[in-house]
Amino acid sequence: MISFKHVYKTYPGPNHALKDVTLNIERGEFVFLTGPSGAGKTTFFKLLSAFDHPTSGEINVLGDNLNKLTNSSIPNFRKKIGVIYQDFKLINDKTVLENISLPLKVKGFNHKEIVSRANNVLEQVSLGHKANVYPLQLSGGEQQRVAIARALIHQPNLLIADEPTGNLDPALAEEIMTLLEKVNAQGTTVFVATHDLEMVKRKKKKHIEIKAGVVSGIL
Amino acid sequence: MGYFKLFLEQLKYSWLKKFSLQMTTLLVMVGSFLVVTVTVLVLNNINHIFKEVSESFQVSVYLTTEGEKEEHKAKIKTLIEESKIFSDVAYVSKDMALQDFKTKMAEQLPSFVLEENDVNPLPSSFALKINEQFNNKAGFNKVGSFVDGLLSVIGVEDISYGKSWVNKYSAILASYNIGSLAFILFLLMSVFLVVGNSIKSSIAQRRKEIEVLELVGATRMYIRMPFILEGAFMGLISSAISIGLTYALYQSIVSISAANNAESLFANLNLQFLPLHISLLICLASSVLGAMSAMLCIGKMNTGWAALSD
Ligand SMILES: Nc1ncnc2c1ncn2[C@@H]1O[C@H](COP(=O)(O)OP(=O)(O)O)[C@@H](O)[C@H]1O
Ligand SMILES: [Mg+2]
Repeated sequence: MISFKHVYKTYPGPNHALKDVTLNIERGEFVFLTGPSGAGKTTFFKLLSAFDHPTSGEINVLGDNLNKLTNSSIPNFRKKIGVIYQDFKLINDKTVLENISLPLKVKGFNHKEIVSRANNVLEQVSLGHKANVYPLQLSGGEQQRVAIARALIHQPNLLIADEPTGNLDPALAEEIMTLLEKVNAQGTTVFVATHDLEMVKRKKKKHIEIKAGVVSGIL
Repeated sequence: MGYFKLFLEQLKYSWLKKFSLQMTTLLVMVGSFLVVTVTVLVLNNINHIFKEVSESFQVSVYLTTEGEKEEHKAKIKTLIEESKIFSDVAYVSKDMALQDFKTKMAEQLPSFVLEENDVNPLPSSFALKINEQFNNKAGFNKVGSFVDGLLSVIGVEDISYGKSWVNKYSAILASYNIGSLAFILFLLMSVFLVVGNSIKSSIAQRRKEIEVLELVGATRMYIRMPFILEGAFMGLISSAISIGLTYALYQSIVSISAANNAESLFANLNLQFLPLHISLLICLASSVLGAMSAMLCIGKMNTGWAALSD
């Protein structure tokens, strides 16, 4: 499902952001990616979601060789994955419903289908009653749940989350994690970057550790 | 159709969020297009008037007494007809010329009365009209050399025609045409920049939304089309408004000149408004201009994860 083969990523400057990363993740897994700030987690997810090219090495995701994606085929690839960001990336002057509709709108779904799917996924993240509210009227945890709903609405096979709980207090973080586990239980492969080692230990899931761009352990 | 809906959303957004910027942009564009359409209108009318004047332009071939003899007269007439330069070859006898002169004088200077028994001082002549296809520089040269040749034919006293007049004005007209075109190009360039600026601001305003759209897999077309349509729309609307204003201006000039008929500068000019196809062409060109300007401003919008790396 995801395979990295000897992947390097170098930004202008002396150090490698990623150095000889080789790993495989199977369909249906729940995987944590951990490492201190600056270790290369975001860089890793950028490559994984085709937002940047590796300097060298080969990346395959969901049957696509990302090295061979052209500019015009990248949007099609992104439509197959769901991504969650630490800063939510919600549009503040669109309602919750409008925000989470975007992936389906981009895919050309009709309005009726969009609304029915949006209501379903909002129920899933327990925000059924907030469909017509604006993001800034929501708490941090609620905003992140909206972002999760947006990442799930098009039923992707792979969900990646870059420090989804980084801005949340521990109780809310736990709530979000439980939600992600629920999504995983329904068959979606979930890949979560975090530097919250305590939680990773508690969850007892597959755990990839990177330090200074190098994979230092797969537990 | 989907793009059209997106474009309407985009339009609503721009006008609600940045009304004063949109309004300023629109006003500048209407102003520029107004100058463009008025220039085109003036250009069109001057060219039209010039064409009318030179079409009705007469050449008179004056005959000597010798020339009035049938044999010479017939020979001159044949020469003129065979040249195929002229349509309408009319013989004006001494009497007709005098009659004409008298009526004209009566109109202009009623007190002037010609004594009946005076000798008729006017020569007889052929009045010719230049064929339309000679209404150009090359044509005038041909007319010129034909006239030079005709002058040496027995019976021809003199030939009056406006060669120098027509040449002079066609030269002035040509430089005026070129000058106006340069001026119009300059204005269109400024419109190009103004539209680009407004679209850039629209993009900046929606930066975050564009980023999110990219993240969820929107194609470049999906993201750009609303902005391109917005640019085209700005071009279309502002040029249509300018044409409307130009029409109002034209109508008021026409009605003023109708009101104080004879004294008016425009009284006898038979002014025309821009033909429909020119108006439509201006609207189309403005839309294309707006769209192109927007397209150039969109550039590379892929920001993606950039915000996350810091
Ligand atoms: N766009 C960039 N240009 C230059 N250096 C970058 C860029 N993005 C990340 N880096 C560097 O790459 C390294 C890994 O960064 P990042 O992947 O953001 O780490 P993490 O997400 O684990 O905190 C850091 O040293 C960072 O400074
Ligand atoms: Mg990061």
